[in-house]
Amino acid sequence: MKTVICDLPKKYIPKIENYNFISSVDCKYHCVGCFSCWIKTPSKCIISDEYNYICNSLNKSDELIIISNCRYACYSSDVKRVLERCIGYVLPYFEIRKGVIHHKSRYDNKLNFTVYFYGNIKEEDKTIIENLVKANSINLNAKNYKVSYFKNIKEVIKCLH
Amino acid sequence: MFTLINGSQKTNKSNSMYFLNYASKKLINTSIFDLKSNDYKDIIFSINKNKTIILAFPLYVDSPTSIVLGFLDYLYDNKINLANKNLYVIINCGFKEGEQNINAVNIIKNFCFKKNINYMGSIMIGAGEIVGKSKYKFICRKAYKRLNQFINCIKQNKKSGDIVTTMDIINSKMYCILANKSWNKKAKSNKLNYNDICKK
Repeated sequence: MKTVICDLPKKYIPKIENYNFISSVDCKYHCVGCFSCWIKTPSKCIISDEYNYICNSLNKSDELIIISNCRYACYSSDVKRVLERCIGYVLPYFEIRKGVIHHKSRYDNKLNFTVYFYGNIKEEDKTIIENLVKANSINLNAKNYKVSYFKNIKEVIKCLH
Repeated sequence: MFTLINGSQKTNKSNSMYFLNYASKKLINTSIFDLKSNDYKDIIFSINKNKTIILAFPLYVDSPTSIVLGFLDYLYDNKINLANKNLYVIINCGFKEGEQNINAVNIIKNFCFKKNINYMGSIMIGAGEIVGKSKYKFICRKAYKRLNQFINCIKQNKKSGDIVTTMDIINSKMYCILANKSWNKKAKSNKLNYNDICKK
């Protein structure tokens, strides 16, 4: 299964077998930084809404795909809000990997990490974006990562099919 | 003269707010705002009035918090005139290496470039949970020296460059051991142990 976190308006979200689409547009609540998903209700966000079990969904997935508008070489604030609700996917505990401190993995599965950015993306944005996605993939302990760029939502949808 | 903005979801209890309060004591005529508990009107009013903005936030998923990104969207979408404003960034992360904040700093720089803001520099603080607690100041002397140096640049309206700092003495291995112990202690207060925390 593939988990897709996206900021697409609902009318654009396609139905594709084995794809679990999570729209960030309806995510109203920010992570409150309480770390309950680490030390109180492990892997589960304490905010009771449809986003509090994403970590489990990721555990059952072989790929995490992010589809996001890109404005300043970063995820949209909507997508980012959902990503922040997923920090329970890793453990609070630290370990050193290749000489740098990262969070330990909670799950044994290693995700393929794919990011589809759409919007008016300039060449100078791409270096920042690629460093960001690389850092995310290292902190998620992902198997690999891939970044693709699209001019608009329609191009992204076409690529998914 | 200075608009100080806290982009942490932990609002007043955050390390970001601690660093802003620390800076505020050394600067004259400051106004501090919380992005999470503000509808932006007061912040925009202060930004319009003042030349310099200091934005503080914690590193989340290798980038600025969604609260900060939402604010940047607001500034962008509402065409708020920020031309020639000065922006300094204070960013802290839980990892010991302050360098891990670099992607977030580059995103803010990118925003400044697109909005015609003068990016004046940043301080990238590692071990933010330690540096941001005054009781641990004795093992963070270098970090406070760097922070003071950064604040002096703000005072003098000078570019600071991107300063990287963290706590002193302890190496990465020891940092991991101590941090992991502290998580166990916090878990224990919720009657959970290591195995509970690692639940899949």
